[in-house]
Amino acid sequence: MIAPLPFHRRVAQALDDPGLRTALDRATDRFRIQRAEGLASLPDPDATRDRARAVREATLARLDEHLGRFADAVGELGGRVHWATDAAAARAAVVGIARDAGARLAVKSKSMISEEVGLNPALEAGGVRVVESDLGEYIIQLAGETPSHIVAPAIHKTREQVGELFHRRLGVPLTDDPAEMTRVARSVLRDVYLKADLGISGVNFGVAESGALSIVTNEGNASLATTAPRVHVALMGIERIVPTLADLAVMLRVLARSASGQKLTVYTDLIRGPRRSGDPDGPGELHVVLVDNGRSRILGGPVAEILYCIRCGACLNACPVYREIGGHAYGSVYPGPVGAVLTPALEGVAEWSALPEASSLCGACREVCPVRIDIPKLLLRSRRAAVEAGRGSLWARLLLGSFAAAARRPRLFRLALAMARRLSRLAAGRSGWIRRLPPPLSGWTASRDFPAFARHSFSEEWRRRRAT
Amino acid sequence: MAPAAGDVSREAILGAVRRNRPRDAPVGAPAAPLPEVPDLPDAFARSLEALGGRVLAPPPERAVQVVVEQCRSVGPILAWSAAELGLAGLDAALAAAGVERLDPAVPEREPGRGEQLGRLAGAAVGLTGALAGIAETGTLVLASGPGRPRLAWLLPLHHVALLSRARLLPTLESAIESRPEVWSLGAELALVTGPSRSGDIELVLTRGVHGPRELTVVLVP
Repeated sequence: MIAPLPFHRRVAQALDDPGLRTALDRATDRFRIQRAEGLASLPDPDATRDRARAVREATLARLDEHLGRFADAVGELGGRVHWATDAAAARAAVVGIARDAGARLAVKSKSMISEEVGLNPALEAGGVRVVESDLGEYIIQLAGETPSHIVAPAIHKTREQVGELFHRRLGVPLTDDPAEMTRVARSVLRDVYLKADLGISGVNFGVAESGALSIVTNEGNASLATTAPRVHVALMGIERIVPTLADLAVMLRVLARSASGQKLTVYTDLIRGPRRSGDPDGPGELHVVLVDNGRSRILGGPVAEILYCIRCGACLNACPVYREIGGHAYGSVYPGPVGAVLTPALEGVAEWSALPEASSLCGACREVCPVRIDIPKLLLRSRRAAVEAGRGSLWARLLLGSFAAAARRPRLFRLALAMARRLSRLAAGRSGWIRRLPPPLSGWTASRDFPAFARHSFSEEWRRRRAT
Repeated sequence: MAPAAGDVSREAILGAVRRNRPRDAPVGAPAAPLPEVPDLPDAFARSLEALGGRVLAPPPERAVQVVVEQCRSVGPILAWSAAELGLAGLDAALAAAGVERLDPAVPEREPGRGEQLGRLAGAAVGLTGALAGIAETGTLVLASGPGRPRLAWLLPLHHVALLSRARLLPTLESAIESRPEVWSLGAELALVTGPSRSGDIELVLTRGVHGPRELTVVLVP
């Protein structure tokens, strides 16, 4: 997916939207408080996160074995496994399953990977109507938008905006009461569950030893979407494996706590195959689509650690950039710090070179990550990859090159510093702040002032103090 | 015979993973300490009530009566079989109270499938047992199977679950370790922790989005 506007234009647009700022403030603040409370309910949160990281690390170190075992186990339980090397293969697999099932209507529970592969348009083109069942996803589907947060897709909308949307699209009375809107969505979507031929879901974790698909929601939408329709299709990234049930328990200990502060999501389902003989309900067919789409390549590259991610969204809520601009400004399926690493890795460093730049490297994301991914380090590696792909600016290379040349020669460095000090104090005047600089430095002063250099350099000051 | 297209992709993906997987030995970390949960029924009740669920603990001789009261509402019930509920005398008491029970069987395909789903959606109460209860989180462990329809804990607005005190365990980890048979019992195993809820509109908590709005757990002997 290529975003229609350049990154800096989308950022400017987001910063100009007061409704968005209100919605982001309300939501990310709540999320951060809830996460802190959730982690505090563990006897040793840090040791728990270390353990969760170790599980992801050990899993990826032998991913081929675990993945093969998982696929075999799903097959033994009567599920059908489809291997999709890329997004097109994943779309084709699901469209094929829908066609074979004669499906006209699909009900879908939230799945980031279905967004990644562009599933909905492909199904619609194949004559299958797709209805999103997660309340947030349903809201943005009605609005014709895309998710702006990994766990709360409609986080960018205020309640007033949702009320207006329901009024306009569903013909219900105008309200700003979330409880009332929830009732409306329940009744509309209930009908869809009962009529849908196909239930589509993502997968949070696939358990290799038992072939279980673990899917978590708070609303119960995945449970219904994987129970009521006669065919269930689950899409899953190949890295979403845990070796054992005990490992799953470790991941569940940190997933909901990091996402929303809950000890466990309301519905944590473990699906093992289609309905069995004698079962009163459940789908007659289960298909699991295992999607690579670049993951096996990322595994061998400089940002492999991003595959530890369990999609809790905590890094989004913690990120000072995300909290200002929201998810849409990134223009990618996965927003925020994790998206800034994952998107270039999945889709190409050249097209997405702006995303890893959208970070002050403050480290707040690393601080909250339940599996302790060193996101700032990965952002730096992504920047490096972008420069190596020829996406570094000529000016940046020139300026950094001159800096490197001067920094290696103490005398030249002192001379350059003295000149910079003189010039900057001249440009700043009395206020001590430079408000405008000529290109290429104008980029800096377009949105912030630059302080004049101090009268004495640090080393001068150091020498002076040592002397007295 | 040429291999099927699916096998080719399987080998392509697993081969790429094998080539690229990290060479370094994992660092590892020891298991983290688990919370201590001293009084199981009390902890279970407090956890579940904090999520908006209710826990009733009637004396053994009143258990049947309490369950019947929960089921006597405006509509029919969708229930697990008497054998799966395991509370002696409950069936007769429900019948005597005039509670209508729906046949839970949903045909695998048409004809009759959509019609039967529509009928089940009219259930006012879903009545289930529970294979285990997790005290730390207030979680019910439920599994599908013969006599255990999963729609019973999903479709109705009110879910009533019978949980034997003896099946209470402190943590998810202890449930995995001490009750291994539970985890392979059915095609669907569900950990249900409170009534259905959403925070998708400004993170304002609302209940009963797709699943039950009310959850009542009756602790039975």
